[in-house]
Amino acid sequence: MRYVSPYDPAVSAPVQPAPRPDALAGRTVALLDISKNRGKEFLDRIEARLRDHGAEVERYAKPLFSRPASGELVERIAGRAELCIEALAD
Amino acid sequence: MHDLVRLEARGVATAGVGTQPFADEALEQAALLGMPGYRMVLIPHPVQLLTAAELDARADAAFDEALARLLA
Amino acid sequence: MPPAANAVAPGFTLPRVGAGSVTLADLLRTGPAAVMFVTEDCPTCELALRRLGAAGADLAVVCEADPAAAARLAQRTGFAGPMLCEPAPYETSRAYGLEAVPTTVAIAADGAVTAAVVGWDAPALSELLGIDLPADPPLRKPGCAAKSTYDAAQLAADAAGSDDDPEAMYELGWTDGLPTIAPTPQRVAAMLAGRDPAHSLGPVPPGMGEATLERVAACAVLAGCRPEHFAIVAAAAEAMLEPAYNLHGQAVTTQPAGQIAVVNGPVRATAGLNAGMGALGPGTRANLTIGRALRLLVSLTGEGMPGRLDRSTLGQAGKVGVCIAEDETRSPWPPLHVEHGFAAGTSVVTMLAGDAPLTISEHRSRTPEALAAALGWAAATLWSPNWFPIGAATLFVICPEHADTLAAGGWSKADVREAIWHAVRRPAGELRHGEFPDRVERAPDAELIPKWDSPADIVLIVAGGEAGRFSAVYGPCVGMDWKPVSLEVRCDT
Repeated sequence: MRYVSPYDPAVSAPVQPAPRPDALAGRTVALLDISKNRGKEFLDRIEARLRDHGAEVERYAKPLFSRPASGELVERIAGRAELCIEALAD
Repeated sequence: MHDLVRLEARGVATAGVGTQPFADEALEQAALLGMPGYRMVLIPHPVQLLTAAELDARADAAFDEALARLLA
Repeated sequence: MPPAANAVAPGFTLPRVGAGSVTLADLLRTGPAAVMFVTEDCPTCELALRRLGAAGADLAVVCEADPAAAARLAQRTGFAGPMLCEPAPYETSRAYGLEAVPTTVAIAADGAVTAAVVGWDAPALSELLGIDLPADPPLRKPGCAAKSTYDAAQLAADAAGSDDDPEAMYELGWTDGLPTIAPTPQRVAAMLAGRDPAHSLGPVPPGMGEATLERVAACAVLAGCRPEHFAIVAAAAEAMLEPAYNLHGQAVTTQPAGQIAVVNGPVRATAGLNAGMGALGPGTRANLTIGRALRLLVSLTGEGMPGRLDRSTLGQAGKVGVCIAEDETRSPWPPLHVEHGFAAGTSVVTMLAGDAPLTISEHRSRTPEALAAALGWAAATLWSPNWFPIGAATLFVICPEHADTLAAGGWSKADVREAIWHAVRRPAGELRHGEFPDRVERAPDAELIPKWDSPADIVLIVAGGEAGRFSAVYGPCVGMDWKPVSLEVRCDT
């Protein structure tokens, strides 16, 4: 008996990880704040450490932690940065 | 995790930082979304009541791990 | 290929449903005969059997199935003629070169094939059977693959599970923990009733599986819906996927909140929804299965299964699914969809988010003021006792007796909302314990903080039995920035 599946097989289609650079110097790192408490302070410290390593830093924030980032935000980051740190899920 | 996987798919190397109770959920989501090997950078829970100095120490510890995730 | 004209029709001896067995020679004893091959699970075969049975066609049917399945098919379609059955390995079907069902073969008295018709083709069958089939659509409809064409793997799969084995659904994980109805292609097709199965309503959070109408229909079948429920399920699914509803937040939160569908308009009657006695409780298929279909869409297509992407700490029974119909006839006020700008005669589903309902017993208040205050104060500890204001829409279900009391003073729904909102407020100084919002932190001690930001956050509907002064309020889904979303239920598609 064949059944009609309620699942979408595309959800779990494999995603290849992005290439990793050798060093931070000269690279642009996006810091994405998911807008939960303490995330901003946490990322302030991360930003300082990144700058110590010679990276350029750009800050982004999601308007609300409970929603995925908009496609527009993902595209904006992808157009500007090679690296991204997202914080702080608690 | 959606954000991170979508960024990886767009060619951006990512590191996600969360507290330890998120570990299971992150693994579950990563596998579901097509990146079963993806590991978050985990710091101890909770963070809401930490002093500024304590939070910086957590960030410093997370920073080294995040670099390991971001660089070749 | 089915036998060509003038070929000799292969002989057979097959069991007849009800009694004994029948040979081809038996059928030809009184002259030419027609034999139609069918399967139990082919919608076109069902159509053919119903139409031909109603037209009084003289033909024998060979069902590629065991006697029980063939008997079910005869009963379901009302076909009263001879129903023969041929279980695997389908030697007779193979001898006739069967490829698809239904296939109808006319055989002359001398055993020579005179003609064959594949699929439902009313004009061709009229000619072949010498009858006058009515010109009702569909005049032509293709059928399904014959079982005799199945390869070994298909036959094994077909034999392994009957349509109605709930254990198969548990093995697949297509369940919320309760037994589900297997979404066979026939059931899903019946649910879709001609809608485009590939049409997508968009990705379903949290896993972002694409909600094609076929998958929505599969969830509706699993949940136990009838096809007449599907227009509501489809509209509610579309409403849930509106960005303003923030289904993603609701689906992954540690809160217990689930989705609540409120239905207004004429579709309540056609779907068989209960807005009267026990409106929020068990007992009515439409209410329970429509709500459940929506939750299955989140849990399965959206991958929001509790304990996996759904991180709810405790959950609550209402997360199996909630669908409420407003009792518009009994309500003294305009119904919810009219408040949302729809015409009274339009069918509408409104999606809300909320926790389990809290019952409010109030048998003594005789004035609208006293009753509104009692209803409001019962809701004052929702979410958390010092959380003023809630910052989310809160659904009150007002029972008919309470509605009468509230309306007795000429109060409108807006008056009731205003009265509840105005009644429930506490000084900021008393609220600074445990969990409280920023507004309480900043306010002077004596400032009165209301439980709701504005009367607009209080959503009122009327439902329930005539007797009893019990209303209910659904715990709100807080901090998720969601808004109620109303969409028309289109029954004509």
